[in-house]
Amino acid sequence: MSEHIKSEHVMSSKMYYGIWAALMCLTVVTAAVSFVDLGPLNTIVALVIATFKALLVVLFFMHVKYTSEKNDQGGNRIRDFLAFYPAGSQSRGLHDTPPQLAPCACGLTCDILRAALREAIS
Amino acid sequence: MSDSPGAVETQKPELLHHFSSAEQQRDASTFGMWLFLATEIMFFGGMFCAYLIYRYWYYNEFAAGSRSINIWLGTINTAVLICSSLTVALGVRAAQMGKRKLLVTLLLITMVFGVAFLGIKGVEWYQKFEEHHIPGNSFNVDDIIHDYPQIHIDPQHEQIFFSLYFAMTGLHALHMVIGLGIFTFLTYKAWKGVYSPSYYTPVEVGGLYWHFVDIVWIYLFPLLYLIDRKPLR
Repeated sequence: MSEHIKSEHVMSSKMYYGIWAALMCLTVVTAAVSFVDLGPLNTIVALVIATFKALLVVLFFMHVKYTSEKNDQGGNRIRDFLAFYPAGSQSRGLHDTPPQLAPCACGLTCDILRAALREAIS
Repeated sequence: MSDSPGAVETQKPELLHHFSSAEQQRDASTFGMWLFLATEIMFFGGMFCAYLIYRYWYYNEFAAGSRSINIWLGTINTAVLICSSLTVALGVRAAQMGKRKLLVTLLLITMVFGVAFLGIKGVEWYQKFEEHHIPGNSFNVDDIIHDYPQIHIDPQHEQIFFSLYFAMTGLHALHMVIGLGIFTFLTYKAWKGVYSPSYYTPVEVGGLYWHFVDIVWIYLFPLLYLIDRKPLR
């Protein structure tokens, strides 16, 4: 075992400030757009912007984008579990296919919403 | 694995004996945090689900209720949380580079933002308290009914909106309070010089928690404050 412990990927602080600026701009945009009457699109626009902001936080602030680029296995397992990228794209050779959170959560949410809507309509 | 266990322990006191390497320990901690955050998504998910279903049923009441909460304070609070996420990310970076003082400073700034968020939240809640919009015996939404004569508003359904508003923002605020506790601990340890470029997992994992709480607010903000802001018909 090597003495030197591989450190996490250290991102430049410029990158963090950039992500911060993008998040602030999106916050102003989403607040401003909410006053414009877009009909049913208001909800969709607000949630799409929120999802984009959440993705920026997850990928950059929470390091998911870089988690696997320096570790051979551990990081990949986390990333595959979250499945923001195709599972196993970098971790071929692992015998087990890890469970994937994102598709499971999306599927479950859709099922619940569908059931709720059916209930509401009937 | 040429090192004997004793040698490893003296070199890296933070490495627990049941892990074979510092990397394995770090991966296990990080993965554990992600698992916990997955359960948190389910925790908050139930409330988001309830909110969406009731909003579908009682659209008028939810629209009127949403318009009665203060969008400016909500927007400022979103900005405050985003700033706090930036300082957390920069803090983790400082820990990665072994800058102790910078790490302590950034953790303290993060906590100032966290307290500011809770303060602004408190102002919002106090306004609602004064307007008798807190669910319970003195709940009264005559002012909202008066503001929107063009739609029918059932006070009972309006009360459901405010129950969900306080439950969701309250649960989020509780997470912020817990986060402040975690960060107090991290600041103390960072001040003592526990963290180094080879060991900063608690900072990283505490940061993941803080970012998650930020993400919950990123969704609460449009759902509670924004999506019914357009003129009511």
